[in-house]
Amino acid sequence: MTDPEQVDWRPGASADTLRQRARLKRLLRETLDARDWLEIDAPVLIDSPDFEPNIALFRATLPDGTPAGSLHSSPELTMKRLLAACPDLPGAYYLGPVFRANEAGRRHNPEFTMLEWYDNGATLESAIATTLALIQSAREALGLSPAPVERQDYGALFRRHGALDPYHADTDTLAQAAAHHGIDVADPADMARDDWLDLLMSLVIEPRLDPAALTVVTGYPASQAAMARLETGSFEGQAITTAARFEVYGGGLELANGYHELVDPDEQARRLDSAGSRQPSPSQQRFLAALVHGLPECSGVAMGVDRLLMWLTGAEDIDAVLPFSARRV
Amino acid sequence: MASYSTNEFRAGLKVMLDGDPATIVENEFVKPGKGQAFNRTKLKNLKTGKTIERTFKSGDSLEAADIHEQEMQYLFSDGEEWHFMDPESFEQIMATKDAVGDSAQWLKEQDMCQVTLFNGAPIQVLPPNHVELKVVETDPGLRGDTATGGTKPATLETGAVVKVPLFIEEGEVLRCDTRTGEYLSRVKN
Repeated sequence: MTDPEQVDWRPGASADTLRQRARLKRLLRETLDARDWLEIDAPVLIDSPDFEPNIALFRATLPDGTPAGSLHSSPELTMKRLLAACPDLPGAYYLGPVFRANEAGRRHNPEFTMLEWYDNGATLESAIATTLALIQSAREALGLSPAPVERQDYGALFRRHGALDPYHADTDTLAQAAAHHGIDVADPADMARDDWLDLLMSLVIEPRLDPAALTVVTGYPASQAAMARLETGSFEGQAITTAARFEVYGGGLELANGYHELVDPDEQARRLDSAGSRQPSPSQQRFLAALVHGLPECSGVAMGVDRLLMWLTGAEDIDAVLPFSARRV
Repeated sequence: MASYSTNEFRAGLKVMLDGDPATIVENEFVKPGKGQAFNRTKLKNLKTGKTIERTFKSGDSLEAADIHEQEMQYLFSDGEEWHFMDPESFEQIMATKDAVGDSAQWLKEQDMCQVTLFNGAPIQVLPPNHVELKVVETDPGLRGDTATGGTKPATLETGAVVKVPLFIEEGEVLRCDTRTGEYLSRVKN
C-alpha cells in the first residue's frame, strides 16, 4: 500500500477559500431571488443534443452498456423550454454543475459550477448591466472595491492587437498574425477561419486585456453567434452583421458569456442543420417545438462561478478554488 | 508505436516531433467557452536540447517516442566513441560525441551514468551529480592559505576545469557537482 503520508488527499481550496465560495453562492442566489426569479433544477442527465460543435459531452451508459444520454454542458435547452411554458416568469436561473469532456487545465475543470440565467424581456445591454452589477456585488461581499469597467469591440481588439479585420480577413491573414505573435501551429491546414479567430483571441488578445478591469467585449462575428440573434453592427464605417453576444473578462479570464437569445424557430432549425445535426434528437425536437410555441424575448447569461472565484481571490489555478478538482477526486 | 492525444499531454511525456524525440516540458490547455480548444505546449528536443513552443488543436495526437532512461557504467573512450555497459545484462553500447556532449569532461571509468536511449541507441548521457576526481594540473598551492577566499583554475583527470581555492594542489582528489560545474570539497585520503 502507498504510504498515507505521501497521498495528497486534501482539498485544493483552503478553508478560507471554501468560506468565500459558500458566501459567493449565497450572494448569487439572494440577489437573483430578490428579483423574483426562480431557481430551476434543470436536469443534469439529458439526451445528447450536440448543439455546440466545440463542446464534448460525457456520455452515460447503463450497466449493460446501453447508451443512456449525456451530462449537460449547459442547461440552455431545458431552461428555454421552461420559459416558453411560463412566459410570466420575470426570470429563471440554474446554479449547479455542468460537464465538458476533455476540458482540463489551469482554467478548466471538466465538472464546474455554472450560474446560467434567462432574463425575461431583457435586451443585451440590460443583460450586460445585470452581469456587471452581480460581479461588483460579489466583490463587495468579499470585501473588495468595485473594479473599473472597460467596453471593447471585438473588431477593434483584433485591429489593435492583430492588425486585421476579423470579419473579413482570410485564413492566410489570420495565420500570418498568429505567426507574427510567435504562435507556431502544428497543423495549419486543419484550421478553419473561426479556429484562427479563437486562437488569436485566447493567446494574443486575452493576455492583453487590462488585468485590473472587468472588460465587456461585444461585436462578435456572425459565425460565432451560436444561439444568439444576429444584428447589424459597423466596423470602421462599414455595415456588418454581428452576433448579439457579449463576453465579460476579469483581467484576461473569461467569466461570463451572454446572448440576446434567438427566438425564431426557423432560423434556429437552420443553424442546427448547418451544425451537422442530421435528424434532430428528441430533446432538440422538444426545444424547437417550444420555440414554435413562442419563447419570450429574453437574454441569457452563463457565468462560470469557479472562474469568478478565481478572479476574486487571485487564484492562478482552478484547483485552488474547488473543493476537489478532477485531479483530486 | 502508440500515440498520445492532447488530452494525455503532460510534463515528462516522450513524443516524436518533426522526426526527433522530444519531451513535453509544459502543456497549457486554452479554450474560449464557446470556441475551439488548443494545447499550447513547450517541448524539448532530446537530440539538440532545444526547447520550442507548438500549438495543437485539442484532439490532435503525437506519436510516442521509444525513449527510456537507464543507469549504465562508463567503460572507456577513444575520444570518438564512448562505451557503456548495462550492469545487469553486461550488454555494451557505444555513444557518439553528439550524445555525450559536455558530459564527456566528467566521465570517469567505472562511474555509473544516466543514459537516455532512443530506439535503443544513446542520445544523451548524464554523469553522476557528484563526482570525485583527481587534480592533474593547477598552479602551485599557497600552503596554509585557507582564509583569503581567492580561486584559481584546476584541470581534473577527466578534462573538466573547475575553480578551486588557492590551497588546492596537484594530485588531490576533489568532490565536484557536475550540474553546476562547481568544486565542493577536498576528499581526504
